[in-house]
Order: sequence, then structure tokens, then C-alpha cells
Amino acid sequence: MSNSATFDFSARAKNTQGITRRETPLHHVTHKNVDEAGVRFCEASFYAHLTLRGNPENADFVAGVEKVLGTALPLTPLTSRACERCHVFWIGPDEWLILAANLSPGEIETSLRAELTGHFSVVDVSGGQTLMTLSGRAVQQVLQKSCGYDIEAEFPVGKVITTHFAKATVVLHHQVEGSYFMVVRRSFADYVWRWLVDASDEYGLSVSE
Amino acid sequence: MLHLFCPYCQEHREEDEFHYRGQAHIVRPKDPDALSDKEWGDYLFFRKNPKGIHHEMWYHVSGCRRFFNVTRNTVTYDIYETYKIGEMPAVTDKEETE
Repeated sequence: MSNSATFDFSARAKNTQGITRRETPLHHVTHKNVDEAGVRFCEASFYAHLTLRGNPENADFVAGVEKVLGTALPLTPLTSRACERCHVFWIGPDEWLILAANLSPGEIETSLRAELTGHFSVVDVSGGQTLMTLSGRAVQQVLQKSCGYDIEAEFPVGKVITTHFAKATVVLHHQVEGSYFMVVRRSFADYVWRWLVDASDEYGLSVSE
Repeated sequence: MLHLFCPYCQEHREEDEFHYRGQAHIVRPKDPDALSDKEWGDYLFFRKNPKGIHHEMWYHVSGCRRFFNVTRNTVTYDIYETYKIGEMPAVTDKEETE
């Protein structure tokens, strides 16, 4: 196996003067990239993650969320919506996960709180979990051997499932053909990463920023 | 392994995503003070252990994190139906309804 490059995750610990040092859950590991990689991994660092709960039968709640996020709430089980600002995943009948790359979680939370009234809950969970993206020609095989879920037959583009990945609970999203989002708890991130290194070994793994 | 249909996710998932959470349809007494010790003890501790049809609660802990009910045959492991909390079973044992 030719090891062409070393990927240093430690670049993902931001230590700007005057700002609190921020570390992604995988900032501490390194990896030697393979030339012909069948699986491509990226830790999408410092996304805003928010858990939103509310009654989907409350029209004011649904309309208010749509106004703030710029996209309607996915009300059908296991579906997702995306717009330029964020991704919204269906987690349960009254629970959604909001992911945003370029917005601060505080910004989203403040605007949701300003818009919504009555019985709802919005919690910033950005520090508690991380987003991994997986792609490459062999990514489906790696997911198939890690999940009990029928990835091949039951997982079209746009679908979101919460399931087991190598015994860890993850939120899996088929983002575009052959590319997946995986939301993992911070405490499981290192374990899932190590599992992925092992599971991807036969196809070759490369890591990118 | 059981294959359970989650009424909230609207699809079948494998048993390892779920937890069994005991007998379903246990109603909390409205006025516990009015109960005798025996009645209170029965409510708290005593559960059915039928041979045949059983209504039980399951928790989709690694999925949508919702509780739901399952009607299952404890002898054959057949699952007759799954239904949301608050709904009543369509399949019941004859002796149970008498």
C-alpha cells in the first residue's frame, strides 16, 4: 500500500488569540492517505447542530420555523430538507435536527426563539456531536458491513435514518448519490473513526479537509 | 432476531435498535390513596405472563426514540401488529376480552 500523504487532524484545533480554543472531536488523530482511495472521509468541522422539538400539527410553529430556516420542516418520517442556509433532518414525529455550515448556532437559536411562541424547544447540541461525510466508490460497501440497515435497497438520496453503525447510534443521511452525512456523538467519534479506518482498509481510505 | 415495524418511522427495523419495556396498557390509578395495599402492590409489581398473545411496550431507542405497542405471541414469536401509544390493539386474545 502506498502511503502518499499524512492527514493531520490537529489543524482542526483552532487556537486564535483571544478566542477560546475549539477542537473538533477528531482533532487528535492522524492518517496516511492512500493514492487510490475507495472511501473518502471528511470531518465537517464546527457545524451548527440544533435539536428542535415542537408540535407539527401547530401551523404557527411549522410556519415560524420555515420563515427562520428558509425551508419547510420535513414532516414525513425519515425525510430531509435542505436549503442554502441549512439541512433539516426528521429525527422523530416531533423532533428535527438542524445542521448549518456557515451560521453560528446561537444565531439560529436566537432567531428561532424570536419567531416561535408557545410550546417548543430548541437546544444547541453543536458541542456534543460531529458531522462526518463519507463518499467514494466503495462507501456503500463500508456502510453495508457496518449497519444492520438495508443501505443498498432502502436508502435513496434524501433519506435520513437514525440507526446503529458498528453498535454506535448515528444519524445517517444520503445527501447526494454516493455521498453520505453521518452525525456521531462526540464520545463515539474516535471509536467510529477507528472502525472506519479498519472497515475501509481493503478499499483504501483518504481523508480531506 | 425480531423484525419490528416502528409505527413512527413507518418501516421495519432490526431488534437491536429496540428495547423491550414490559407490559402495555397499564393504567395508573387515578386516586392511589383510595387503594388497598394489595391493589397498589398489584399495580406496581404484578405483570401478566401469558402463554400466547401479549401486548407489550417497545422503545425505539436507537431510532426515533418513541415508545410504541406490539401484540406478540409469546409461544410462536409471531408479531401480529404494532401500534402507537394511545391506540388500542386490533388483535386480542379471546379469554382476555371475556
